[in-house]
Amino acid sequence: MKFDRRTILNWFLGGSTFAWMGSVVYPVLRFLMPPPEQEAAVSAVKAASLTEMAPNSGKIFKFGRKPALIVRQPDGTFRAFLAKCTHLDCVVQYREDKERIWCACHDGFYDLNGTNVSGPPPRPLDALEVHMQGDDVYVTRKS
Amino acid sequence: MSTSPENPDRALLAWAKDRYPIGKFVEWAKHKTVPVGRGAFWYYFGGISLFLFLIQVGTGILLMFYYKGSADTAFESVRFISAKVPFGWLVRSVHAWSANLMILSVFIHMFSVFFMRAYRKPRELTWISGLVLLALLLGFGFSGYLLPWNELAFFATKVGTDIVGVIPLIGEPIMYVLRGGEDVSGSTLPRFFALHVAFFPALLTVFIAAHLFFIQMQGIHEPEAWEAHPEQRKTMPFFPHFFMRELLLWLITLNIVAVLAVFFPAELGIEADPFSSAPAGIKPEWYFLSTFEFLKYMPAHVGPLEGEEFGLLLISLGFLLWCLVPWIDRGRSRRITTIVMVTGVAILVFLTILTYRGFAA
Amino acid sequence: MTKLFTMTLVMISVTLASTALADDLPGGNCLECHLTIDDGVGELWQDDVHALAGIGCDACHGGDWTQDHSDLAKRPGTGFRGELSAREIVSSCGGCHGDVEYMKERKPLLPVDQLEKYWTSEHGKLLVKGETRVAQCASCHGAHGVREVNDAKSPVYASNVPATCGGCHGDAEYMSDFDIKTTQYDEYVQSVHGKALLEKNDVRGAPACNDCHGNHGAAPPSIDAITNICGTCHSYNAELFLGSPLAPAFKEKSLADCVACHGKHLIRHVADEWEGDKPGATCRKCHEQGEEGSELALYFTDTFGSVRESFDDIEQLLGEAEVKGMDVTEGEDYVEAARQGLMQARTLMHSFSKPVMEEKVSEIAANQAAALEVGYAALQGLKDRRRGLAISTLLLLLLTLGVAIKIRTLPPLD
Repeated sequence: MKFDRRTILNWFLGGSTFAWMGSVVYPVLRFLMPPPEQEAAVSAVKAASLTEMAPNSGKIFKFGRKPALIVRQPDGTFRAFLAKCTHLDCVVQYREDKERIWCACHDGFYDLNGTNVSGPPPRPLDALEVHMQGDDVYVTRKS
Repeated sequence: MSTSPENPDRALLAWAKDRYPIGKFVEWAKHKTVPVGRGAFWYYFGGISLFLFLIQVGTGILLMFYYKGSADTAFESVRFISAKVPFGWLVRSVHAWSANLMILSVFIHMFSVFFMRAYRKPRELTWISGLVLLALLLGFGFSGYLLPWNELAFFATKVGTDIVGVIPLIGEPIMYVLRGGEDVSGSTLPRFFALHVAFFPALLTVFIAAHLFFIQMQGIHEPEAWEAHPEQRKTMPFFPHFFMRELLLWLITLNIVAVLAVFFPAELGIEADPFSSAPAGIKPEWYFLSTFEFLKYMPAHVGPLEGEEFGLLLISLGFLLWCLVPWIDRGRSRRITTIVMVTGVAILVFLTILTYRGFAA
Repeated sequence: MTKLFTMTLVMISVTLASTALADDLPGGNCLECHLTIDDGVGELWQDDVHALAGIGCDACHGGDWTQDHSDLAKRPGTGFRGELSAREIVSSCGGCHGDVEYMKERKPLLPVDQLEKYWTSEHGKLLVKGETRVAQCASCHGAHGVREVNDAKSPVYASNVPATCGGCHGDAEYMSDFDIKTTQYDEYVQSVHGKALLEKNDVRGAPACNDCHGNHGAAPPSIDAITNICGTCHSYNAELFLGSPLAPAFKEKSLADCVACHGKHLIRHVADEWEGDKPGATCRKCHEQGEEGSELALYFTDTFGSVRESFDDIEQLLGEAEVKGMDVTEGEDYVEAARQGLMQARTLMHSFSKPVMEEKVSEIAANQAAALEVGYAALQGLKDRRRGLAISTLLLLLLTLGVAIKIRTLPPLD
């Protein structure tokens, strides 16, 4: 190969083109690879599995960015709600001894329909829908 | 037929020529020229507009890998792209900036064509197809703006579709179809998405093809001065001279977009809530600001028409005249040409002032 | 004959006229005058629940409402009473409202123990002794414009209660003969309960005077009752306190549990006097410096102080990242979780146990650390972006150079 100016120029051109294209193609390729943390699903979330929750128990889980509560009632069926108390936004919890949902901040109580039955809460809890898929309990927004 | 002293073609070209009748095409490409001169700088803007559109297509397709186009999930998916997907922020911001630059470039292209009077015979259809392209691109901009489903976009769409509804007779049905109902809602978003990624791209492809086809068949418009002074005539071959310069400009444009994306990333905003009241200071995107401002200056009623109806009528008439410019100024009367050119300057100044006022408001 | 006929005619027409009028006015003929004279009674009566139930003026005042002249209506023998005395008011209202059978036929859901409770209250006890300046039924409910309790215009509607009680109890001059402070209303208005009720309108949640003192049996709760009273709403705090080492100590010293530290009416958010072990600090009231109690107080002070400082740091960091265009919502989620934890920690304090607190604090610290991580990662991300841009711009410049030179090597145009 002759190392004249033209060849050097062509090699330089080709090399820098290649390098520059790399700086464009690399981000595109990385973009296409799905990130490890899947999107915080706002439409459907697996809240629990049948085996992990005993009857008359509750569990807090993340629904999108919001805290939510799933309750396994004494009869074995599931109810789910957004866990923000309608009084002053504290996170509620399930009370096995009362079989009700309780807010520790000012002693507010909700029954298992989410209705505010005692204390300061002015409105019922926002209910979510529960679907079973095999052993898994999925929670979605109310349609 | 392989490479040999008689056939100096490269191997790939030879392979293709063996199978397809591209000889004529290659000959044509070799002899295609572009005028050189003072106004030559403006010739690049058509290509830059095309390049920016290609960037839109590329980044748009990439975004579609992660964007979820329903009211519950749209905002969150855009946040996911911006925050979690590697280089997602870059793809999104490039898409947003390139959209704006593309429309700016298209306006520059259109006005430079106007002031060079390149709309005249035989290029009337090129002019018309270009205006159709402009309309389609504005449609792209309008439909795309809603997709992040944030507060500003939601209300800007509401205001924009309100204006569509002002058109007499057909306005309200069109608005209803656009919105997917009475109001802008979760039903509007999938429609706008379909318009943005399928309907407009399909139409745009057809019209770009037509526009480029016309240009290739007729060649680039030559400066008027050459008619009187043929000695000024100077051209450069499209391949490789013009092409290389164009390519360089394309690369610089891409870098400008990247710089804008890094230093002025696209905002996420607040998620749209159809039940909340409109925040103060809703504005459409900058390319609609002049129309928006113009309508504000209309009196409540003009004759039997409502002020906004009258305003839209004026704008439509203006646009129609703009489309018909090739038939108004045929180059046969100097007086008409001067009037048309002065009007063009006036329109440009008017649009600029109105756009600025729209920002300042 | 004609005379008898005329008199009968007149009596019938007057009766008919009166009944016609009585249909319009729920007070009978009394209102003919009492609507025009300036005592306000007539106007108030239009909105009264008793009037709307068809009960007339004579139910409390006696008299003959069929007469349209006051001399006749109020003549002896009609049982007319003018303005009722305090005792008369109580027996008049209580006469119906304390009668189970009577109320059952009219408003079965209303309680009927008001009168009974009233006699146990401080107001009632003093009234029995002859003190007429105390509150009786009309003092709070009004006499002629009585509205339902859940009517926002009623003086006993939740958010109106403090002003109603405060009308007497906040008036130093009125209360000068009684051995009670008159600062309660002013203190209450500044308290968290007062602000919640009066400024944020939390009618369901925030306590007014009656929620702690009772309605009709109004009396300050005894010292032993304090935890129960406050624990009606703050049940978890009460439970923790009763299980803590402080409860038996307070009982021994006859300290009023919650009130001993939080006060009665001027209950406020945590402020400087809660902190540390210096004189004037709350815990210092009992604990000397160096004692176990003071050490715990210092621990709480330091812990909460550093948690608050961390929140400030986080806010600054996340704010900076956000202004520069990075997304920090995940950090905000951690901050929210940490704030919930802080709320829980403040409640857990009432167990006065260091191990319990340490567990909660480490949870808060973990969330705060995660929030800070998000902030730092965001700022680092900014730097990375600019570095990436610099690299690709550099490569582009090289490429531009190459293309520019290449253009120069092209055959010249001619």
